[in-house]
Amino acid sequence: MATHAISTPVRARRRAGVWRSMLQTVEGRVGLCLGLVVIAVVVIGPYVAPHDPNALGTGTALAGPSSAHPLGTDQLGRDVLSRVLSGGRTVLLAPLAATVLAFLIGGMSGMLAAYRGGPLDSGVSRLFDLFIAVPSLLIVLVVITRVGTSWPAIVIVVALVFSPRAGRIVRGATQAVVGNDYVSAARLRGESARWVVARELLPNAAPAIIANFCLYLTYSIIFVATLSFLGLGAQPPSSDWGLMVASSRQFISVNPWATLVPALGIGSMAVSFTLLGDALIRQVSRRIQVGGGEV
Amino acid sequence: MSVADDPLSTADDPLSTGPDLSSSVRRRRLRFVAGQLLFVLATLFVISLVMFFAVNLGQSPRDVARQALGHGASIQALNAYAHAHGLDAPVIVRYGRWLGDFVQGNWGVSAVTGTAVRPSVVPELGRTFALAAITMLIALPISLWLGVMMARRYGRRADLSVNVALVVLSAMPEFVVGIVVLLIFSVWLGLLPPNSTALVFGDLSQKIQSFILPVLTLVLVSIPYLTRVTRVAAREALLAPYARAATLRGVSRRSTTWNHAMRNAAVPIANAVALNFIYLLGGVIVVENLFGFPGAGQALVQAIGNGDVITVEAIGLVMGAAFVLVSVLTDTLVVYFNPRLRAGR
Repeated sequence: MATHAISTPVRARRRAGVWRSMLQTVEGRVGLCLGLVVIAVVVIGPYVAPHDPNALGTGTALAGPSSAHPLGTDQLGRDVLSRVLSGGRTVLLAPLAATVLAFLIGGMSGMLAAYRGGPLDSGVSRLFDLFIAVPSLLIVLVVITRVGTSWPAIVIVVALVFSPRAGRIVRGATQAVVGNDYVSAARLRGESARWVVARELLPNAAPAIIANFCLYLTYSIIFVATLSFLGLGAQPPSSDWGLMVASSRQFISVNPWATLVPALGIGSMAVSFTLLGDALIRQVSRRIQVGGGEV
Repeated sequence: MSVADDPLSTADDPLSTGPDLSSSVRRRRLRFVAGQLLFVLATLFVISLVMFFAVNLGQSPRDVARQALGHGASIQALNAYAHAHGLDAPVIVRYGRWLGDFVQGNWGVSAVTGTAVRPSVVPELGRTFALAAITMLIALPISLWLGVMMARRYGRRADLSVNVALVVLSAMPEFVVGIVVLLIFSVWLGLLPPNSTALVFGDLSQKIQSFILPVLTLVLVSIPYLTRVTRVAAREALLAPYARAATLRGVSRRSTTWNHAMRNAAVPIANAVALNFIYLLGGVIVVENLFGFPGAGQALVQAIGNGDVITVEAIGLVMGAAFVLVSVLTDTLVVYFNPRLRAGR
C-alpha cells in the first residue's frame, strides 16, 4: 500500500471527508452554527450598533431593557447593546493571534523534535513538560504587570505560555505519522528535512493539529477574557466583553443584562470552538482506528 | 496456622505489600520518586525565577528605593537605601538572598503598605487553600460517581448527552460560570450573599455562606475534566479481563466496579486530579475576585494593581509552590501504591 504514491486529488478528497463527517455529528453542526453567529456578531456588530459604544449618558444610568436600549444601560449610561455589539473583536482576535503564534513556536520545535528523535526529542519533551507544570495564570499575571497591558504584549505572553502545550500536541501528532513508510521513503530519496516536514508530515498530521488548534483557541479565549476580567487585559473605556463583565459586576442586581450578555458572549464563542474541536478530534481518531496508519 | 502453610497466604503474591519486596522493585520505586522530586524542584525553580525576574528586571535599585522613600527623596538617600537593602548587588546575588530569606520565613516588608508581608498574607493563603481543598473534596466524589455511571452506559443516549453538557461546561470561563451562579442564587433567588467579604468579620453561619457560591463555581468548573477522565478510565477498566472475571465469579456489580476496576483506573484519575489542582490555582484567583472572597488570589491581584512587588512575589511563590507540590504529591502517591508499578509496567 504505497501511500506516498496517492495523487493529490485523492488526498484532498480524503481530507474533505474529515470535514464532511464532522458536520454529520450534532456537536459539529451546533458548533459551526454557533461559531458563525458569534463571528457574525463580532464582524458586523460594530457597524449595526445603534449608539456609539463609548457615548456617555445615552439614557438613564443602569436602566433596565427598554425599546431605546434593548439591553438597558450601564453605570455610565452607555448603551449595553451597542457595547456588546462592538466589544467582541478583541475577545476573538487577541486569542486567535496568540494561538497561531503558539502553534508556530511550539509546533516547529515539536515537529522538529519528533522528526529528529533521539536526545533532542527527549530533551525538548522534558522541557515542554516542565513548562506545562508551571501554573500559567499566576505567571502571566505577574509578567503582564511588568511588560504592560498592551495587546501585542498580551498576545506574546499568552503565546509563550501556550507554546509548550501546542508543542507537545504537534510532537505527538507528528510522531503518529513519522514512522510511516512514506516518510522513510522520502528520507531515503534524499529529500531535505524541510521538504519532508512540509510535504509529508504536515499534511498528514494536519487534521489532528487543526482539531487541537480549535481546542486551544478556546483555552486562549478563556485565558485572555480572564485577563481582561481581572483588569490586566483590555483597558477602559474599551467595550471588551471580559472588561464589561468586570466593570458591571458591581451593579449586577440593578441591570443584570450588562453583565450576563457579554459573559454569555464569551461563553458561546468558547463553546463553539470547543464543540468544533471535539467533533474534529473524534473524527480524526476514528479515522486512525479505521484506516490503520493511513491518515 | 502459620503463614507458610496457609494456602491463601499472600507471601508469594507479587501484589502484596510485604517486607519481601524484591530489591529491583524497590529500586524502581525509588527511581520514580527521585524523578518526581527532581521534577518538583525544577518546577519550583522555574516559578521562583519567573517571580523574581518578572518583578525585578528593568527596575533599577533607585526605583525600588523611591517606592519606599517617596518621590521627594534625594539621590544620596536613594543610593543609601539601595545599598543598605543590598539592591545594588548583581541580580543573581539578589535572587539568591531573596530565596534564602524567603525559605527562612523572612518574607520582607511591603514598600507600599509599610507592613510585614507574612502576617497579612498567611491568613489569606489559609482561606485560599481551604477553598481549594473543599472544592476538591466535593468535586472528586461527584466526578467519580458521574464518570462511572457514564462508563456503564458508554455510547448510549444518557452518556452522550451528559458528555455534551460537560463539553459545554468545560468551555466556560470560570468567571462566566460564577456570574451565572451569582445571578441565580443571589440576585434572582436571594438565597446567598452576593459577595464573601463576611468571611473576615461575620459569625459562623455567615462564614459558611461566604464559602458556598465560590465553592459551587469551582466545583462546576472542575467536574467536566475529572468526569471525562474518569469515564474513559472506568470504561477501559470495566472491559478488562479481570473485571469480567470478577463478574463471572459472581462478585456483585458494585464490588466489581469499585474494588476491582476502579482500583486500576486510579492512576489516570490521580493524574487528572493532579492537573486539576493546577487549574484550580487559576480558578481560585478568578473566583476570589468575582465574589470578593478575602483570600490570596484577591490579595495577589490587588498587590499587582498597587505595584506591591514584595507581596506579589510572596503570594505568587507560596501559591505556586503549594499547588505544584500537592499536584505532584497526588500523582506520586497513587502511582507509588499502585500494584502495577510493582509488578513491572
